[in-house]
Amino acid sequence: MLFIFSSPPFYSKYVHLPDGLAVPPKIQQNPKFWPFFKDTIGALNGSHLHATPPAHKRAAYRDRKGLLSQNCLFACDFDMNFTYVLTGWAGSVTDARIYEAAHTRDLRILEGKYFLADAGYPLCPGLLTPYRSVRYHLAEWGRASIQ
Amino acid sequence: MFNLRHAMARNVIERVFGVLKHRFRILVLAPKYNLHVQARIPAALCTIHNFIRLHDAEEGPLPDAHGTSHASEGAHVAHSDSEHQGTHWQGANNNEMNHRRDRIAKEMWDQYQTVLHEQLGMEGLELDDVEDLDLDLEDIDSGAEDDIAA
Repeated sequence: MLFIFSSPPFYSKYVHLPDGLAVPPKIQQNPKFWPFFKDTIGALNGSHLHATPPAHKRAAYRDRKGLLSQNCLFACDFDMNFTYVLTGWAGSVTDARIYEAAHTRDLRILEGKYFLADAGYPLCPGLLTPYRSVRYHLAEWGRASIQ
Repeated sequence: MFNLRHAMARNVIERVFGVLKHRFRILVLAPKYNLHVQARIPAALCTIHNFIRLHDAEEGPLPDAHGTSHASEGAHVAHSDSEHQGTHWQGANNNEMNHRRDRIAKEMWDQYQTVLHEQLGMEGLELDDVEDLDLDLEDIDSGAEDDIAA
């Protein structure tokens, strides 16, 4: 069963990248996001899931929190459906490295479109990441509810 | 500002992780199967998650994120820097995306300034407040460079 669910055609029928033709309604209906994020097709992030590797592989699976885990890359659209999944990487591997692997494997992001990812990922075509090392202006936080 | 909205939009994936881990408790445990089986489990569960989303109309809306405060968002943004400093890999062609990000951040800021001025214009009728608000604006202008990035 496990292999049926995680292989084509079942897997590819339910987990696939959006065609990118339509702007996600969640983006379009929110004036905070529209029209700025009009080319986004979803959000992308990694997650560590606990794993129990054999003894000789434990070192590689030790993540930065000291736990044994596998590092997985997930992408989802704004309706909370997964659009891309890459699993089985050792816990010590960085998020950016996994994205690089996904990119060379089968993660094909349409020209001009991008996922929103956190600062652990590189800023490159296909990924829009936040600015690093910026300080917030406190006055703005207080006004965050204005719009 | 850009980072805040970016984090708000990105919030969806944190929610979906929460839903997935809550729905399939096996993801929280460490299953003692072969590694290649363990690697398949999340992929299979994501598929099932999508399947349920598509076919079970009675599932209803998933727990919404509105309960999570901006403060926790902010904390997340702040952490992400220190979390990932070990990352050195950069895409070869990131200049274009850099410009694009700057452009989006600037558009956001400009629009925000417009809205802010409109609001001040309306509130400006109350004479007592005008002085305070002007001071606020100066504050904001002086911090503008930082904020465009933020």
